[in-house]
Amino acid sequence: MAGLQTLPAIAIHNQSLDILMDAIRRGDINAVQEHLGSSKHHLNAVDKFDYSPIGLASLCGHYDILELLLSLGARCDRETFQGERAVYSALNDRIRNLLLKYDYSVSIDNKQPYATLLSSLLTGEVGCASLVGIIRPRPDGDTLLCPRDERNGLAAHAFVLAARSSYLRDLMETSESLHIGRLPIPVDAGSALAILKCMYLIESDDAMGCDDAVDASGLSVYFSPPSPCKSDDPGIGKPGINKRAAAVEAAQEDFLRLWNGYLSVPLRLPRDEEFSISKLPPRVRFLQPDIIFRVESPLDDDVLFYAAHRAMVQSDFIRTAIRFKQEFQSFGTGGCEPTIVSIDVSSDIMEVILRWFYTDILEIPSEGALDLLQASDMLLIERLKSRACLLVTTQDRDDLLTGELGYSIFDIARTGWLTGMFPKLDPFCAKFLASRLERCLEEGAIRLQFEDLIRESASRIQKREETDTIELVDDIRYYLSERFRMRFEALPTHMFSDELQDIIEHAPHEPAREVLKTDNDEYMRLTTALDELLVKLGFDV
Amino acid sequence: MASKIGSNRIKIRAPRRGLANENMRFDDAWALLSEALQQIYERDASNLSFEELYRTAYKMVLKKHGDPLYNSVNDLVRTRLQRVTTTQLKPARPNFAPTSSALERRESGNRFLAVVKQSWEDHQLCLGMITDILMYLDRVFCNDNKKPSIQVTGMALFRDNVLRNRDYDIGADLNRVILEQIRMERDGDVIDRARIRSCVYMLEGLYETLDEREDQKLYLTKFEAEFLTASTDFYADEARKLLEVCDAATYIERTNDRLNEEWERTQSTISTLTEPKIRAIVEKHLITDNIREVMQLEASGLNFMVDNDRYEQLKVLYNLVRRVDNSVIEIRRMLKDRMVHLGREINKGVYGFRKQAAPGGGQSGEAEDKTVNAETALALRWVEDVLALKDKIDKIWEWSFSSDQGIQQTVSKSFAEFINENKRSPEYISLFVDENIKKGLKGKTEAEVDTVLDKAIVLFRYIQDKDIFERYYKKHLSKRLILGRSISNDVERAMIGKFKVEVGFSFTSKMEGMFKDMNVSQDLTTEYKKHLANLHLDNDPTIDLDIKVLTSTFWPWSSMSGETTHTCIYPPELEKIRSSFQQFYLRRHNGRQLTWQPQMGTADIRATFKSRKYEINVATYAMVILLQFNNPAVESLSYTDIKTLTSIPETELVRHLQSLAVAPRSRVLVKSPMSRDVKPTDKFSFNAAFQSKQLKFKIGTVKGAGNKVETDKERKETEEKVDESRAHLIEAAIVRTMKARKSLKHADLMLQITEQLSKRFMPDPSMIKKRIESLIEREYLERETADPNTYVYLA
Repeated sequence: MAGLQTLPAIAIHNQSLDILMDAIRRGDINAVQEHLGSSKHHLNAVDKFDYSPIGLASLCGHYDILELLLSLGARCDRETFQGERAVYSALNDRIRNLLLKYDYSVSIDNKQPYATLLSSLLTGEVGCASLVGIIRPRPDGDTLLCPRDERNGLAAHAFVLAARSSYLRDLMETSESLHIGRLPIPVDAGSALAILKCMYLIESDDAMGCDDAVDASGLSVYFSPPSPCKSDDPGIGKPGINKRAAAVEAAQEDFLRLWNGYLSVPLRLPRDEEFSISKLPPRVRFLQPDIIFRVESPLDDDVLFYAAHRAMVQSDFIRTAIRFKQEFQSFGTGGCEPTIVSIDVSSDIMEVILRWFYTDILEIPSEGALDLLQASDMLLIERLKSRACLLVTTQDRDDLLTGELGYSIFDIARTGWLTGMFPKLDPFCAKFLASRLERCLEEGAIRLQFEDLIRESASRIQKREETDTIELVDDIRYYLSERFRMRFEALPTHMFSDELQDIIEHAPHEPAREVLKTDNDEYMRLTTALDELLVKLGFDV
Repeated sequence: MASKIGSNRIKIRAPRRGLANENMRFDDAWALLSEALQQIYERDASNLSFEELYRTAYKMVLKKHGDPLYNSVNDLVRTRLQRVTTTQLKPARPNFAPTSSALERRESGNRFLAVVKQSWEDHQLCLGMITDILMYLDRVFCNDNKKPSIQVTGMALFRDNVLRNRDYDIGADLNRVILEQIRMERDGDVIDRARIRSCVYMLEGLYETLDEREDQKLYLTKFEAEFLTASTDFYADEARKLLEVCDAATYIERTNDRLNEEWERTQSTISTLTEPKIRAIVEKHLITDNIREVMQLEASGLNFMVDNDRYEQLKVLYNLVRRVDNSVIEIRRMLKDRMVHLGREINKGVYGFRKQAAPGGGQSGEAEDKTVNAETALALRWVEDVLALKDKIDKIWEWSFSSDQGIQQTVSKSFAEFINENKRSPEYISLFVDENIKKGLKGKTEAEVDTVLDKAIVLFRYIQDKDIFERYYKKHLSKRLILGRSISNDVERAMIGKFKVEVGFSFTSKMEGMFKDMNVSQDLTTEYKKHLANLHLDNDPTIDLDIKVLTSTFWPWSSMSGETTHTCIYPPELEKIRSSFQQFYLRRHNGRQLTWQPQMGTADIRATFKSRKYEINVATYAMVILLQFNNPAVESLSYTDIKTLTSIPETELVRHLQSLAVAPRSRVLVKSPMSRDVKPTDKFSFNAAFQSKQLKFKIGTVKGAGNKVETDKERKETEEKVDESRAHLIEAAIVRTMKARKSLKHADLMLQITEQLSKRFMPDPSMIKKRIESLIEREYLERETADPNTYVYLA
């Protein structure tokens, strides 16, 4: 997902660029400053040799000029040819490090998939940041934004417009013309396009962003761009990165507001009552939801209906369900009735997922983390699976052992195997178990579960050979040795007990020697106990 | 950021731990799923709950029932497909019975294709739905266990249970029906292409193996080979039939149509993958194997097309041959033969004439003149014929052969071949230019003039012996210049410019010198007149001198003056001017020698006869003769008298007396006795009774004014001269080469010399050898003692 975004390389063949490039070659910082003072258009341009200004400055080793260019907003992005070239051809390490400090893709990376999704709603292309000419309307655009000088209008999404512009939201909530899907806006087509680009987080081709354009043309009534100076240290700015990050953040906030204010409250109907769009409150209907998620209510026999938008759905299961119903069952194609998809998760999880769809913000208490993982596996949402895994593995609490949280460490391991997330979850579980091995071996109830888990891990290799080991046990052994080794940083990586013995005897101080000795005893005791357990379970040690 | 999200209103209840623990029996779940799949196959899917089915399959995978589920689904699909084969495809199997009529076969084939198409589309639709429902199985189970996806196995099942059904070989039927239908279409029937296309799509969507390699498409492995074999047979047969019944034009037209037809077939009926292969087959059988024979067809082949300017046919033919041979060798070979043949036909006209003329041998001067005139006309016609042939072939080359470079070379080679076979072509071509510059160009625009001259240059290019051409051209040019016959100096210069471009400066330097002489002479004449005016000498104002001083090396002297030296006794009034100019000139250019050439000059004289005054243009010699009668005392002079008085060389004297006294329209002298021939005893007197319709007229000499072809005698002289100058050139080349190389083997030297001189003429090896011998004799070279085959340069 990440890194598809490309930096538009605009080849400008003109004298003015040549003058700038010459100044950079010479290292004439005054000339560069003067040139860029008048126009920033060439900041990310390329010349006939495909050199960008920072590429040339980097190659020629002009640190001060490079710094100037970057601070003015020149973009260094290792995901692009220009950026990679600039980093690769840096004259010295100092320059290289400066470039890396400004590396675009690293700073923006985790937000990029969300921004790309949003942009692709308008451009119809994933990962293409540059927009040339008129935007082709996407089939799922439901509202035509009609500038005063354009007959056809620009296709957009009502919910995006409502989220990103309070002006347009108010207009829509009261507008009569909306039922034919047209939304007049009293600006010209160029401005309307600029506004749309901002709303959909489409990156502009030059340093003069569309945010600036909206700002400059007094269009902020229709769309208020984020204030660019939100950086933590405004002194040394990384304008390109900060501006982008701020724009994405602003979008997230806008959508969160939309979610909280409009979409998070489901329609509740008795089980035997049929859903109809007319039963949705008007303040949801004007957002033109085209998909309804049906979830069983946890508390009673009612059914909950969440109105949502296909455009934001990032689940392969849901997308397939929509297609299936449309193609094979001709549901949801007649008029404005949205497609209803039943989701077999709790309403809480449904809300977490929907909110994440709209905002890319994931917030869920630890109790729900494992459920979220399972749900995202069932719904085939890969990115959410990783996020859920991260949530699971960032906790370190004793109650995971007993399952007081609602699930235990053993559940986590099994879920990992079931969902294919074991490469991330297995090490976590092994480490967790190694750090609490005493309780696993000694507390009866826990020990039983532990034994089951070992058996299951063993059975994951279908045909057992003599030499095969049990993955889980191997991992536990490793983390166990880590656990004890932690105490002396100087110890070699491979620790054998006799070596350890040796070290203990030569330890300089009596108390330290004592601690070491106890530790060693403890370590020996645990490994032996683990071996015994294995023998008892019928495995070779 | 998290702080901004707002209140944490999420309360997760006791999690639904059910999934991991809840029990599930495979049979129950499969019953639900298989029921749904059956419904899908029955086209009754509208009430199915996608979510429920998906979830069922999802749970089955979680509960480790992935494997049985996978197998059960495949079993179900297999059973289903087998049933389709027995119930739908088997009854529709086509009728291949030989007794059935073509119509029946086509109809039954069509029905069969329709059923295949339908069952394939059904299968795809249902498989699509099944794949959707079993998405989790595909994504997780198949992925983890490295099993081919439901989609892939579903395709393989169709392949094995329908096309390769154990009991009914539907696949073979399908191939056969498609091939039969294509055959019908090739024979001119109309078939349902779209239907075949969808079956071909099916074959393209199926693979031999589960890893679905592109080269393992059933289309390629099963269908295409059969199609190509059938096509090979068809086109081998087609070629034979066409050759039997068609003329060349029809053959190539059909071939072209077939190629288009097959291309279209790959676009509309079968797969584009086959395009290059089927094209190769048609090209091999209809073009490579047979086109030569077609081109050689007597009454309609290439020769016929060329002779009759069949541009379109030639174009098609050319494009066909180009498909198989980019350098179109076959066309070029035949075209060359044809061109040389046609060229030789033109040459034959010349040979025929000369054979006729030759027996006369020592014919009388008059007869000889006639022959010469006729041959001149013939020469011009020869050039025109060659040019016409060139125009013709150029048009074909441009229109039909897309200005192909290779063919242009061939044309050049064939023209060079037959043009050089005619030994007189240099002279003829020079005459052609002469003719055109003299009169042919009147009334033509500059562009037209240029075209004609360009054509002449094209022919010039083909001439091998450029030195011979140069000789003739200089001769013709000098006459034009001196007699003021060329209509435009610009045209002359343009022509020389063209030669210069073709063969370089050395070829034209002398011609340019001739022009320079002409200009200088004009200035000289003016200056001389000024000089006279300044001197206020008592010159006879009635004599107006126009002098041409020619540099002897530039001008083709001998060919202009013949072997005799030209002198005469000028009448005193002329002699005075002559010596005055000579003084004037030698004063200006000390050390030069002036030789007077009266035979080349002309004079305008005013003569008073009884009836009136006339202005007559005569040759200088004729003027000298006439002036003898200017004395009223002289009544008549005998031939001998005149000869003594003027001492004009005898041949010239006779010729001019003939012009003045015998030619009927310009009889200003009376000869007695009146006869054609001039005898020493004849007497001449002034013809005071002379009358003419024109006030101004010209008395031409009997012979020599215009450029004509050479007589055999002259030609012999020319050849000798050419040989002589070639000898010089060869010697010069040898010395130049040896001086540079010091020592060289015989063969190498020969090669070098030939190469150096080939731009001007093709040196004869025996001639080179002779020159080498001569140089050795004169001690420029010597043979190396050790190796007599090597020459050494002696400084």
